[in-house]
Amino acid sequence: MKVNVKINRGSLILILVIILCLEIIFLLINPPASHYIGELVNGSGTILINAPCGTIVRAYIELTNYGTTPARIYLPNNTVVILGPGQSAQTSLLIMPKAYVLCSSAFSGSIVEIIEGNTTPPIMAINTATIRIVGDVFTYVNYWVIRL
Amino acid sequence: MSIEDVKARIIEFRDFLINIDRANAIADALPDIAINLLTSIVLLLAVPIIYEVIFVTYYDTFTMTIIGVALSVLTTAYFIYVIVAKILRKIQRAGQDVTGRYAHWDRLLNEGLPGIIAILESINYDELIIKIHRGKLGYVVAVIVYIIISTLIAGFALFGLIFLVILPIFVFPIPTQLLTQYSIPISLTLGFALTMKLAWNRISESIRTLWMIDSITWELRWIEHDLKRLYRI
Repeated sequence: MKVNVKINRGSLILILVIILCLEIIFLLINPPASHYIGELVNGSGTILINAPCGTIVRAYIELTNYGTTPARIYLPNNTVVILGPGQSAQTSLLIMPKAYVLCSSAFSGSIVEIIEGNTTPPIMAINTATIRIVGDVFTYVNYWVIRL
Repeated sequence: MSIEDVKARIIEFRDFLINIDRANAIADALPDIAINLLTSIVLLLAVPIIYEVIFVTYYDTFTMTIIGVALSVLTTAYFIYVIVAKILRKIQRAGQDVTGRYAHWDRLLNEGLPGIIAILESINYDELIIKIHRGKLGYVVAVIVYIIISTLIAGFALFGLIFLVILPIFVFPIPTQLLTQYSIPISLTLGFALTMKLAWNRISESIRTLWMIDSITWELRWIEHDLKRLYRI
């Protein structure tokens, strides 16, 4: 069965203008640029990568052991990476928001937080990837956020 | 006013009618021009969005660089093709056949007064005023589109010349801030200045034509009225 769909020029222009406006809004909210944060964790610390409602976060994490003893990195997928002195490791994480979290639950914190010490991060109503660090590790996180 | 003066005015008016018909033809082509322009801008803006979304979800620097470069080159090529091959050509070709509509006026003018009256009576003034208003819109939009497109072409050419050829030869390394923040505004401003410099006569002529069209129309109505009264035709 052949279906002929004809769109007149006025409707086509309107559709294109709407798409153009949506594209401009998307690019204004999400300029194609990454953000970064770098910090030296002495002894122990935690990296929190938060994905609030309506966002997709890609984080590229580079960890370098600046200490004289081996450092342990506890990744979110329950694997442990052991870094010798001077060694470095990289990992990339994609964090999506939890489907059941309502967008009304406002998130006021940072997308990526590096907390020094053994402070236990509070449980949040958002999806958070946690990386625990034990050792003297320089942490560099380069992240992209898409707000839908 | 002698017959020769009237003939000269009618020839002048014929040129205006040709301009008006051309402007109406441009006004007819405007929806197609808008569709072409909007489609190419939508595609051009889609590239960074697609790149960003795929980069975030897929994250592979090498593949993404290849995809990004390929998409950018393809959409930029399509954008230039649409502007040069479709839009500018459409504006230039619009109303190329209108001269033929008034070819018989030469014969009528040679017939003298009856021919002049026949020409003046053949003009539908109410329809002409509608055509003038529509043509004015077409003219104004065509001039604006012409300036924008010429500015974009000149701007991109100057961007390539200044920031990719001249500066890297004489100033190396180029300050990053200059290249990322100010290069495009500087290129577009210079492109606009260059366009205005090169096309100023054409643009001012178009504006003058627009101003004169109204007065000529009313003048011809008076001529028609006077001729009918004088020769009791």
